[in-house]
Amino acid sequence: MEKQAILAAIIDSSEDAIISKTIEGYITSWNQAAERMFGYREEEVIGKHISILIPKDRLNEEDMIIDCVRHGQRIQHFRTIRLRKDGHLLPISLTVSPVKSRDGSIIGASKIARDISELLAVQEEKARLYEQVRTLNDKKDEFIGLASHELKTPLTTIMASLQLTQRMLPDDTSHMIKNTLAKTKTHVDKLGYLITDLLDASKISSGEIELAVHPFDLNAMVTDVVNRLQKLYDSYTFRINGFASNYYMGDKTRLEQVMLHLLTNSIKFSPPGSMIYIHLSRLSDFIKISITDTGLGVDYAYQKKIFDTFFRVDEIQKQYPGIGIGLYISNQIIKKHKGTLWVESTIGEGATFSFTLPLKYNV
Amino acid sequence: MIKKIMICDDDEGILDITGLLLESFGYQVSLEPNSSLLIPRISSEKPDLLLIDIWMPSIMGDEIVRRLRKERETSSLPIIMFSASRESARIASEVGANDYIAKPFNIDDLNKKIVALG
Repeated sequence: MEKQAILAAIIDSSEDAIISKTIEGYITSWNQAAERMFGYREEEVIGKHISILIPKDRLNEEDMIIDCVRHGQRIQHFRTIRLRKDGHLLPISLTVSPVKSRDGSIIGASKIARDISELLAVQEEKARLYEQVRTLNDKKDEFIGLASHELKTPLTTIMASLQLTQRMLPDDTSHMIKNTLAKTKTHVDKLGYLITDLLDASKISSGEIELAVHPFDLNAMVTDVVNRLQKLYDSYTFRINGFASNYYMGDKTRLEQVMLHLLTNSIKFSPPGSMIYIHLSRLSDFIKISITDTGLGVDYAYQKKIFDTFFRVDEIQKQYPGIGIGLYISNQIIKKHKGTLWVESTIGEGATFSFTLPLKYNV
Repeated sequence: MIKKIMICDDDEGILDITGLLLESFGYQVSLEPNSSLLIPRISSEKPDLLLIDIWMPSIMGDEIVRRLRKERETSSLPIIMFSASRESARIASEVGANDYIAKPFNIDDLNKKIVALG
């Protein structure tokens, strides 16, 4: 008797609606939560058919449920819609179990209904926010893409005009004018790289980057990039040693871009007059290129994060401005080639950026 | 040996300056800002090389190159495509252009590519 009283108390204090019915579907018990959830008082529903709670278009669900119960099966967490007394629809999660008599025959069913309207609202809100973030992110990429393309058109004219002016200069032009033009050209070049980087970052994050794969001489490409930089930054000394491959299948322009990023990073964070080492090596099925400087170094805590998009180490941002996408782009290009890019560094002692490229891969 | 170059770009600033730059290398240059007028001009002027932009309002550069490649007299005309988006390198090779250069370009690089096709 006491046990039954405890069970009755549990049922009445439950937040879930607990209802029992006969095998024919007539309601035999109804707890307080059921009153709150469906709006009917106990005396209004006892003896009524369960279909008063079922919207017309879902009446066939009851046949399916009764069928399972008759076969002794349990239905768990069945998400459906039920009808309140006031005509409102209510999303619920339903668990239905057969109720057996002492001799084991099935005489009815117990139903536990949980109101999931809040849960669904939260899920919907989450989905809406996710969609919003995704749309905004797409819009951002599209905007950067369009803006950088638009910026390049006048830049092309400026660049071409500068080159034309340089070519038209009389031989006796003063050194100062020649120098000024050369400096302007260097900065226009930089602006061009910056815009290209922005465009690349937007393309990479929207997954649009594609490689133009052709065979090329990787050793010669590295030497060429290093020589170009040596001319521009004559206070640094670049040393290349080793060999990688004179026949590599990959996107030459993209890999040149990686070399440029890594080398200009080394220059940026190393004092003038220092050495920058480029080491090329070839192992059985991949090649490895390392660039070592004796500059600022990268704190261990940031050694993974620096490859994230727009990541900048706060404390050095003021001294060394930049937008923080060079390493992100480089990492994505190396990944596209099925390789790996990483850094090893001790703060204050310099850094070694290395990447590997497999010699055989399917793009 | 390439002497006559036809340039097609809807941006007239780029068109003019690129023309002057190539003239400074001694090439004879024709300019066409409207891509829909390009094919008849190529038929009558018979340039040795075509330098063509990709994104243009009337007919896109890649479509022009596709059409030129189908015609017998232009099927092997040396063509360099130039554009501000780097993915255009793929477009250029797909439609059968001989080479590609990104905008903004370095004139010495462009000239090397032209000489190589001569």
